[in-house]
Amino acid sequence: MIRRNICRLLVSNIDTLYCKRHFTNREKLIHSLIENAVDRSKIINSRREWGNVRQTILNHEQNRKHYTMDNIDALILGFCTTRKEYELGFSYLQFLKDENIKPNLATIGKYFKLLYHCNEKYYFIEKKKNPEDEEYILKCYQDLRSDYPILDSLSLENTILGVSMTHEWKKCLDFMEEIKITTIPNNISYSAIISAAFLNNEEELGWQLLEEMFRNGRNPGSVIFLTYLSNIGKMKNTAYGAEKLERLFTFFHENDFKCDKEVADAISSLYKKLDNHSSFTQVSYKGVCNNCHLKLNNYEVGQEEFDDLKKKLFKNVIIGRDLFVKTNPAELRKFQNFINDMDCFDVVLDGLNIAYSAGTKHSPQVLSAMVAAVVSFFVNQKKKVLVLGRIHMNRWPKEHWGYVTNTCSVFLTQNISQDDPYLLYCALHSGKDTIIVTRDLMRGHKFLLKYPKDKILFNRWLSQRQFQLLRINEEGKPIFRIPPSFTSVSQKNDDIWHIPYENETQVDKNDFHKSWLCLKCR
Amino acid sequence: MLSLKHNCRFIANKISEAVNGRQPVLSETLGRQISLLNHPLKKLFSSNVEGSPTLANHNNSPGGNTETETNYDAITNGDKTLETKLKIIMLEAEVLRQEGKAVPESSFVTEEQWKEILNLTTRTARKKYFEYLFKLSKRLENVQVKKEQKRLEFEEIKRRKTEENKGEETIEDHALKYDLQHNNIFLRFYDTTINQMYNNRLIQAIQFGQKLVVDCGYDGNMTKRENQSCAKQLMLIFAENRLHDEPFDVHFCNVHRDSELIKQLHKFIPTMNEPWFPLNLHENSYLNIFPKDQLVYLTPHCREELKEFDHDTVYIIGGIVDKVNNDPLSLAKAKREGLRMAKLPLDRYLQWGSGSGKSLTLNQVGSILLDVKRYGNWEKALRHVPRRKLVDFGAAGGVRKPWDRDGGARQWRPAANVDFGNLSFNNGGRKNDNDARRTVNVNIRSLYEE
Repeated sequence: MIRRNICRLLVSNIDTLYCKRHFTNREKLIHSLIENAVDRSKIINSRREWGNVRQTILNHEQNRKHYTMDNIDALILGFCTTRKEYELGFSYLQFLKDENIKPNLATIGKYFKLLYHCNEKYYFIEKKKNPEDEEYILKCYQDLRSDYPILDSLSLENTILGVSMTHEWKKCLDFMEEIKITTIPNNISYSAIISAAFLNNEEELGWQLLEEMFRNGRNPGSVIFLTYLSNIGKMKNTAYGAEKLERLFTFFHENDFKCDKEVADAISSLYKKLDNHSSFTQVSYKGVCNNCHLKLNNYEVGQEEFDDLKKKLFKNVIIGRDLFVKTNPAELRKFQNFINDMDCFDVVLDGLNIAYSAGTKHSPQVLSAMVAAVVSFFVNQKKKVLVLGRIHMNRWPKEHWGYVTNTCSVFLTQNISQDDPYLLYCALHSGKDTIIVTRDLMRGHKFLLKYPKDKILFNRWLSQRQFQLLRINEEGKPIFRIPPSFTSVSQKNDDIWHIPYENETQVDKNDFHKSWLCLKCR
Repeated sequence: MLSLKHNCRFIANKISEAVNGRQPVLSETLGRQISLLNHPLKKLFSSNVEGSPTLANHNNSPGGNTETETNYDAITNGDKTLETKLKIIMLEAEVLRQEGKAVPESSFVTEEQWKEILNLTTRTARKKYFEYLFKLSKRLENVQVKKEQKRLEFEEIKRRKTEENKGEETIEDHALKYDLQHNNIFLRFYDTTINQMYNNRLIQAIQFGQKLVVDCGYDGNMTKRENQSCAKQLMLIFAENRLHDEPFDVHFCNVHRDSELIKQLHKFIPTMNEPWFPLNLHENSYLNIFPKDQLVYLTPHCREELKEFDHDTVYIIGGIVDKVNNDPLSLAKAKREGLRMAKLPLDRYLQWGSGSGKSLTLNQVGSILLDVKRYGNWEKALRHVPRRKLVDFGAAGGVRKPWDRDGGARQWRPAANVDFGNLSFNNGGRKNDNDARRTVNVNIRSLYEE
């Protein structure tokens, strides 16, 4: 009783609490208002309190027609869902019902979304079905459909979330097609339908959709894999289960996918249940698993894929839509001549990237000294070195630059041309074992490759061959970040699977991947 | 948190009531626009596609507001699949609005704009476009409100004046007014007179002034919206040039008459194509009009700075607004045509703040060139760069001296962990230990010799 009173007091005081702040963001006002109501009192059950909140927001002096009768319901429901206050969301729905406020299309969509978020664990993973509830969801859907024979992508995405949790989940496939008229379905609706396919033992369909999802550049949610794993957990035949796990890991391997901690936990407990050995482990820099002491593999890019990548890079990145944007024909010809009688180099250096790695505000003397220091490091190891840069580097003082031009090959582009594409091409052309020295992660160039598979390939190649200059120590010796000699991808080493997973405890993103799951069959 | 059972029951009860009690109500909650959508759509999905009878239904539908009705055929040219897509997108806009996103009223969106929206491929692009339209609608709304306010104020003043003047004018007041029945001995300056003066100046510039080329050949590289803002900037270039003491002879080159850009420009300057109008429009390239060695293409992507303004050169401004595509198109063009290039000395004279970028509008570039031609002073000319883009625009005016390239605030910092203090050129006094210098110096040298 006392809590009630306080809560009511607070709700009526919202106005005075928040009128001083200035709200620039459209979402902010509603968020802070509801947040206030929610945080101070976990009970906004009575109709009056919700009515208060609703009226306060609508009549707020900061509300300049942002929150109207049209959008307030969907916004409040959406807020409850994102804050995971599902009970609160349902109490709001109850309020809408009591007040006889008709939900609009967006509100219904938000309702499906709330339902999905609240129940996905129970339905997909714990596999608790309730035919009665399913009927209601379907009825709600049919009602919607009879009012709107054509639905938009946003509502359809939300409808998928609802209907995927019923026995008529296959309807979602049609919804998908409808969505594709105007856009690509989002992550969560893809995840819902794939989980539904796995749940209902339509595995092939699930895998197909998963492939399609990757092709469309969407990221799968962990609910998919949790559903799949709990399916296996229910199976009596352990040999069959092992086969299914194998397929999952192969999928991870092929798509360069790292699951999150939740999925890793599920895999681990499933393995233990199947009387196998599983443990969370760390991998050393040399690629040795701390648990089983096996060395992880280094998956090199195959020659064919490599040539394909080279071709695509030339076409998409160097030439692009207009040759003149990044270079010019004379330069390209010069470059092609250079490539044709080029030897294979052991190391390809991004001259300007190295020179500027301590900032651009240094004298040419310092800049050239840095390049010279890196060059001499490799030359001392009897490596053949190529330096790429721009013509203005010729104006650098001869003391250091002369050394560079004397000891290794140099290809300089026009000052107004881009040297990165040439650098990449040279490194690819020179062979699979060539080291590329730059700190640039080449994301912009990777983007131009378009297809996800090509991007994976490019990434794998770069992450294996790229040395990043960290600093030059007091003796003038360069210190590099050298890539580890194994690939951070799910892999099978002598019948032991190693699965990398995303771990929040790994702070340094630049460090090599350390969190692994080591899975050993009996 | 909650068990499935609890939730589902809870919801179930609610939905059942919603389903049983409120079925017809659902559609009413959406705008009228959407309830209008329903009839033809039903047909589309029930395999029986018939266009015309449903259209008749529209007018009879209850509450149907014929004013907001959209002419689908005009937008889609009668293409049925496009029409379906359009309807889906319209519903999408409605749902976005109900979710509290920035979407204008559907009556605000014109047919042309719907066509534009149909061409957008992703939902994010559509959302952005809706947001743009929403802001536009709000701006127009505010203009209307202000107009109304002004009108009321004006009427109030008028009313008060007539009230004050109701009393008879005294003979003293009458005598104090120095006029001949409110006439004046001076001739009145009409707008046309001033206009003619400006045009006269412009025509003098055409005869004797320095040429300035605006390259309008990029219309194909710009989206419709970019084309529209580009046209506005071209109009402003013309206007600001005309008002200047010492105008340029502006030539718009590579003009494609039927492009969106020129159509829009024609809307801004209706007399553009009249023979007497002091603006040069060429469908030709500037290469055919001016000697090539006089041309300098102004492009921000090149490395050459325009240090001295040359009064004999014909400068070219690339008429492009690049909000979407940031490729250096003007650089590519100048390279292809083998022209000299230069960029404005923006970094030399100004200290730029972070965030808003260094891009300038065409009319700002035009104004800078006009002022540097007139005054020969870059500091003065660069006042046309928006102050918000500059650091500390309050105190120092954001202008700095050419020799003070780091803004004076920053000290020279050595490379990370590297002691380059040993190198002979540097005696910045960071370390006075001569011996230490020499040893490290030897170290770097010894590396080469090994």
